[in-house]
Amino acid sequence: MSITNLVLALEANLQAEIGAKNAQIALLDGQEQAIAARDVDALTLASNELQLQVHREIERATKRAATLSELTRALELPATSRVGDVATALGARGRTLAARRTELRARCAASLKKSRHVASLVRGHASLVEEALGRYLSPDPSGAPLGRGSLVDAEA
Amino acid sequence: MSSIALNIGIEGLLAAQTALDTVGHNIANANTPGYSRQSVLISAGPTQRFAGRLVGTGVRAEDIVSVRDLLVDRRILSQRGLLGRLEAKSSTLSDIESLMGEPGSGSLSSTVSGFFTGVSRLSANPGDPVLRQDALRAGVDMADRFRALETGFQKLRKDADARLGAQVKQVNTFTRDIATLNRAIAAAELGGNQANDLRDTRDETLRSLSDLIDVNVVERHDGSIAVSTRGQILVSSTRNFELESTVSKQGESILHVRGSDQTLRPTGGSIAAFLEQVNEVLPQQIEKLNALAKTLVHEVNKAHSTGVPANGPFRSLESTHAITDGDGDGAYDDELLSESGLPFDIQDGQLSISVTDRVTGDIETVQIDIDAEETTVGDVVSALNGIPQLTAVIEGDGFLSLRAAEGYGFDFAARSFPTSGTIGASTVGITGRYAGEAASDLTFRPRSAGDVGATANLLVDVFDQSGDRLATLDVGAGYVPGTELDLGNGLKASFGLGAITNSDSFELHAVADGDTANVLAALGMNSLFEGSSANDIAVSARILDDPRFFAASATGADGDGGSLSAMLAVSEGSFDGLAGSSPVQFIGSVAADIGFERSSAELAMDTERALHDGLVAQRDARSGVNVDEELVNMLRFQQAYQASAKYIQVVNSLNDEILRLL
Repeated sequence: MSITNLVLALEANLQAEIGAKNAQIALLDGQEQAIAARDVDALTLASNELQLQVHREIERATKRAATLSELTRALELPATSRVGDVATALGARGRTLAARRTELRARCAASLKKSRHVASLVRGHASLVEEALGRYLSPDPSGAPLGRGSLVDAEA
Repeated sequence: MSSIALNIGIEGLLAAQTALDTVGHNIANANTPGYSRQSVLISAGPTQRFAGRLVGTGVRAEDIVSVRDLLVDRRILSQRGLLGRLEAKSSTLSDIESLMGEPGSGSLSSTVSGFFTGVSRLSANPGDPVLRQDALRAGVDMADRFRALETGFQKLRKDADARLGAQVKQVNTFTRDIATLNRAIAAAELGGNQANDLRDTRDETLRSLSDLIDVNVVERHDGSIAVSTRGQILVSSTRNFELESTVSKQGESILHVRGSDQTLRPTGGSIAAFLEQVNEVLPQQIEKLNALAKTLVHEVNKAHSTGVPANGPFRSLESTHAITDGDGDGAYDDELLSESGLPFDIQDGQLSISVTDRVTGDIETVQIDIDAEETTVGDVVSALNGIPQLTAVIEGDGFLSLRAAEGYGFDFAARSFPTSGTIGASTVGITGRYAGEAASDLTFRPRSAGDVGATANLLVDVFDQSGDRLATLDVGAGYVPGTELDLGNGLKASFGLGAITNSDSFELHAVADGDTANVLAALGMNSLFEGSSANDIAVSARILDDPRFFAASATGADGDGGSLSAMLAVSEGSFDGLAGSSPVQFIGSVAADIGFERSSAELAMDTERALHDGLVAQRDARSGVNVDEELVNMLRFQQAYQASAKYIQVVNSLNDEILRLL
């Protein structure tokens, strides 16, 4: 593949990643809302969609790594070169690539921030649920049949 | 922006914590009576402008509300009132049924039957002292049973009254609690949030209150409720009005709100049932028991009072019921006999008194006419004193005392008189006891003249007072003078030697009942039973002391059990005071009515309980806590959080990876 085609492929990959990051941020927003609203169905749906997106992102990451590797070889750059190094090496031809890189960095940072925020929410909520479940599903030390009952006790 | 984002997270976390706390609260109270499931109302937080853009602020838990259906709650209240009433009614009726113990041994019907069985056995051999004693013992058992039942009914009434009083106090406690809860709820809800647990406590108190009395509930805008019953306020917002149970002038237990003179008549709740038991059911039972006792005493005494004791005519006799001085003038003589305070009615009729010469055996019978509207006590006493060898006195305490002169005795037997007379030169003798329905004046008139026992076809016609010929007696040739000839209705006539003519006649007053005016039974003279109601019925102390005074005979003749036969007729008779039935039938119908009422109440209770349970199930489906559901919800959240956390971790890794490549 020529250098031009490799550059175009990398630009397209970054563009697709930027769109994916926007969708990812939206999904994380959805998760946050689902957690806040205690809407377990919405939370599960958002998690499933996130799972699909992660699969696609891994595919794109694999392709991106291959394209970047080929470009660094063609441009005789060190094997550890990053997209920024490639854009600099390309000079004027690398302006679009550089712009997409900048935009993607921003989207990644936003996604990272959002995901950390949601992760923190999830941890908080999960610990509450753990505590509640531990409280009501733990064996009853008093042995009272219906006090702090287990499911079996509750049915009885 | 970051502070808003952080705030969104905190609000969400707080909302979730509130929701989870509520779930925990629901589970913890799953078995709390009357607890209504609570849920968290979550709403979007207010939008804020940030850097020229409108930014959401997440969610917040607005309120925790009880999940309840007010309509079902109200229907449960009224249903509990119905159930409370039916339960109390059924319980009291069951107590009455147990007390009566019909138709078991020792029951009233068995002791009444036992008495008549004793009388029946004695009638087969009236002179048998053992059978006489047995009959009296059976009478004592019957009287004891009456008194025990009456005492039992009075005790049930007292118990029901005491329970009524206790429940009225309970109502006041509940209404006081509701007023207190009203205050607490109004204060707690000032901020706009619902005081769910306080409301649940108040609802449970309301439900307990509705078990006792039917209530109407109206909720006010501040969350307090007004509770009323039959249009009278029991709780008005923060104040309660206490109920009071008092006794009316008529002796009825009545309810009213303290300070109000308006009588409260609840239709639901156990209080309504107890009021009904105290004021209606038990008094009616006591009234029926008294009616039965009174009828038995009256009817048996009517038969007994004209009987003749085994030891012959009385030397003296005193009434067991006193005459009262109605007009308070200190004299009894001027009192109308029918209005002299005697427990039994007096009617128009005649009282027969026979005075017997104990030496000669001659009997002089006199009839006193009684007019219920006109005859005074003085008239009767004067008439009695007009009978030779008899003295009548009203003692200072109002009891009538009769005394025969030395060598004489008296009784009130149904004797036809005169027992002898003449037609021409022939002596006529009368024997037997007249068994006609009513007294009658009979006239003996020969059709022709001739000699008794000699003249052929010498016939004597016997006419009643209407002129109808009752019999024709052949006393001519072939008749052996002195032979008794049957007149019918239990009477016999004999003719002595002598000539008779068709211008001669003999008048006989045939007496069917010695006391058609029922004066003796009313006064309690020669009575088998004393008293006139279930609480004072007793076999005469004089007869128990000396059973020979048990007047088995209607005539005084040996082996005569005429008085016993008349008493036995009471067991089969039908009486107005017993709704046209016999004593045993009456007891059976009273017991059957109670049994029917009880089984109806139980049937209705089953139906109403099913309805109540249905309503409670409906309420629980909406308001109750399903522990499984709550726990399953939490487990689902747990899984969802785990999945979410896992993918977020991957997302973070991928983001890091991209940033490294960029």
